[in-house]
Amino acid sequence: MTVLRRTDNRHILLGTLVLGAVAVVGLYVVKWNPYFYKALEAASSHSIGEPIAGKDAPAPSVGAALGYAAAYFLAVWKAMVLGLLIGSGVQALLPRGWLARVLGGAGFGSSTVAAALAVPSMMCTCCATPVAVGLKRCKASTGAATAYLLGNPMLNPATIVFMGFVLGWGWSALRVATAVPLVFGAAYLADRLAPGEADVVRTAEVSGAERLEAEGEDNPFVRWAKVFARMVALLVPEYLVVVLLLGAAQAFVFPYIEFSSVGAGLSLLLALWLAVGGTLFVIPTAGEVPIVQALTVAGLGPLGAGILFTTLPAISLPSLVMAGWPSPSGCSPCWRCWWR
Amino acid sequence: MAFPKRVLAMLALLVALMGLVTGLVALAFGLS
Repeated sequence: MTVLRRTDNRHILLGTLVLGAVAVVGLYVVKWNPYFYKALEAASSHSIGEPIAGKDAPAPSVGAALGYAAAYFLAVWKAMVLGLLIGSGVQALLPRGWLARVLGGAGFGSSTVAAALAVPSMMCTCCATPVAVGLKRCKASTGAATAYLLGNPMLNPATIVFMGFVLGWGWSALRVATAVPLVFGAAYLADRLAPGEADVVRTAEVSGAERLEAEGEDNPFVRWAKVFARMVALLVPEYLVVVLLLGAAQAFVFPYIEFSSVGAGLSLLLALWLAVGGTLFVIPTAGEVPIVQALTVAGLGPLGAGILFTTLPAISLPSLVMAGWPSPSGCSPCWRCWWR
Repeated sequence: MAFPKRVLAMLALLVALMGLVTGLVALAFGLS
């Protein structure tokens, strides 16, 4: 018994250290190092590249779908792999009792820790979703998982710096002023809307039982590989399909309009349209910066620019579908199940 | 299911509303 407990503790320590190392090295390679050089580029050229969508959107077609999906996945695939690795690692390697203590409370404390974890992650909404799903399955509160999900794209310090150099520091200040209430307001509402979470008694017995249940496989790294494969099989196919559909629908999300000639009534209609379209559409990290830059040059006013500035990065249809996908245990993936 | 559907619906609605608020603030401050 004592030998088993010692082996168990060694596995937990080793798993936590390995996951921490993967997260730090992965984020350095995929995020911190490239974004440092991108910030220098933005400072000198006041641009971070061509917009991935928005300007001259192609008419709905298979070519538009494939073209957008190719450009999008080329931009995010490394972060997506990292998100899946961390999301599965959280479920397979970290002690659930510890996660439940740190992120399991339905209140400001857990949300703050989750938002603080999101700041260095700097992921787009789709790449952050597997991690948020992993946290949620390991008994993080709905509010904490929501704060992590929204905090990644909205509190991304690199994007805020890019905005300052490309769009002006007023936009950076606006991002901070809107992102903080959005992240914490959404976390608060999520905890209120998922009432069961606050009532879960997180005793050592409960977390111990959950841990044993999760540890059907003794070797933590085999367990990690199994959870990773299961997440890839469950999440990636629908992710591909929704990105293809959104790529084909670009022309509807970003209609071709001479923005400068839009009247007041049509301007309100356009504002509502952009709010819905921007919320559903998917872009890579910081993709909103060149999109807003290009559309304002094309005549889009501050109202439309501000709407896209918040709605494009915060959430997207693929991330919503992935976050609502049924749990793998006892349920095969199917659309009927999702909508039930 | 990881996130309840009502939480996801709230997220989408809140983001769209916050987008409108951001647009109005940008308009008020004349950001462009």
